Amino acid sequence: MRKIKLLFQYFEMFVLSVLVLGLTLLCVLKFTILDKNYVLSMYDEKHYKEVEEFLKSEMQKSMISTGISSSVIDDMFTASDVKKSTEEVLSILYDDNKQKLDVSSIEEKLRSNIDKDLKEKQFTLSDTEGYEEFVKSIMDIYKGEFLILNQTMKISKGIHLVNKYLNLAIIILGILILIYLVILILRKKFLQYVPVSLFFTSFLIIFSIYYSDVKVGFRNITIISESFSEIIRKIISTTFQVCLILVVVYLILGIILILFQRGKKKVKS
Amino acid sequence: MYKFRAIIKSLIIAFFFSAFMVFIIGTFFGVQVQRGLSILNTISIKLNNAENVEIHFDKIEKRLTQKPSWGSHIGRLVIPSISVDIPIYQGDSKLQLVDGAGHHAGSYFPGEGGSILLAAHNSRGLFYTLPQIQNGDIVTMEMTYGTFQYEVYKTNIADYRNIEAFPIQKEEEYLMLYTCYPVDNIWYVNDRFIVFAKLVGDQV
Repeated sequence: MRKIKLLFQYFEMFVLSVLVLGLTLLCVLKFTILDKNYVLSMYDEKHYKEVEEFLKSEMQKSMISTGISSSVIDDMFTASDVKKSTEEVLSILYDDNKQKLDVSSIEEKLRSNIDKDLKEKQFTLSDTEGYEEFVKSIMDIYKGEFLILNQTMKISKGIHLVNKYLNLAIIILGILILIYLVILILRKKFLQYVPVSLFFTSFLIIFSIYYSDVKVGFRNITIISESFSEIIRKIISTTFQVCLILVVVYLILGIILILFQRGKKKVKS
Repeated sequence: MYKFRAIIKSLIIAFFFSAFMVFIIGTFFGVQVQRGLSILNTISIKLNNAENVEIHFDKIEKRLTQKPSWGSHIGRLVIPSISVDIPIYQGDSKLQLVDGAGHHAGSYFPGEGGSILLAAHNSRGLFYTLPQIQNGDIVTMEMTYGTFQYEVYKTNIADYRNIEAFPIQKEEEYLMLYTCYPVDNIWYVNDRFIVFAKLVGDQV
């Protein structure tokens, strides 16, 4: 009977631990990767400048065999345009506004620069098909940096779907844990169970970070371009840092709660 | 002392719970976890910086023992008759074609006995003068493992989408050089000026 009672106790501890772990992970997800302001905070002026230089370099390489001067892209866009486009794409991804990336002013500038270059070379435009193809290919290089392999709308739908169920899951888990904790307080088991669940969550977070770090070369992630990859690496490493801070907080909190436990009364015969 | 024991006890219980959880996840979701990690690993690649490489050529087997990495500098292309003297890089993407000729990764290397395909832009300093090449002109490929000479025997103009105009085969060794045509074009063009040259000498 006593063993069954003990087993049931451990089962209750385990259930609380899993609930706390679930709520922690969902909250980390909600307030990091799925939070637009968090992701936006990873971008800085240095990044926008690097993207500007990278894009112009790619455009120049693509223009080598076209006979058009590379100067047509010199003042086509600036780091501020890159910043504006970044914010627009993040808005498309995270806000439910279904807008498109607006590059009309940049395209207009490119066209005007090409016309100026042709005029200087004293060429008259007869091949409009070639002209349009050229403008399209240069603009595709610009848009390609932001539109995540043209999957932006799909990713946006995914984020909204996840967010919808995530908010619901957080509310449900929060209520469940609250009810559980009230029951534990009434049964005077609060200080016994909660530290275990906090330690459990900490151990699993540490293990997950270590395992994924060993199995996946997060520091070497390379996708689309070096500047975009740098942002992804930053997001992953700061999210890991947030998790590690949580681990420390949970461990300290768990130890403090145990220190508040009342010692067992020794019965003197 | 009691509290210290309580802390240790809680840590041990939490540790066993964690181990049990890892076991459950590994047993029931191990395949999905591994698949997810593999997908992440495919995008976790280090960028290869182009660098000079030593290429080892097996004279008996007549093939390279190890292919050079993408972007590496593998040799020089010299055509004195049209003043071409440019580096050759492994790969023919935008980066390699900026200041040299790109070796198409799907073609053979000099000495392997098959078709060799090199591309370069039609800009001055690269293949701008290629259309001026004549039959009988000598093209030299100075690789890190040997020097190979080819004699031009024909030229052709073809659409870049016509893959038969760039035959990759292993029956005989010949070199194909190509660039966008006409060389004084504005915008992108579909035609390519192709030079064919057969192997006439090698020093491996």
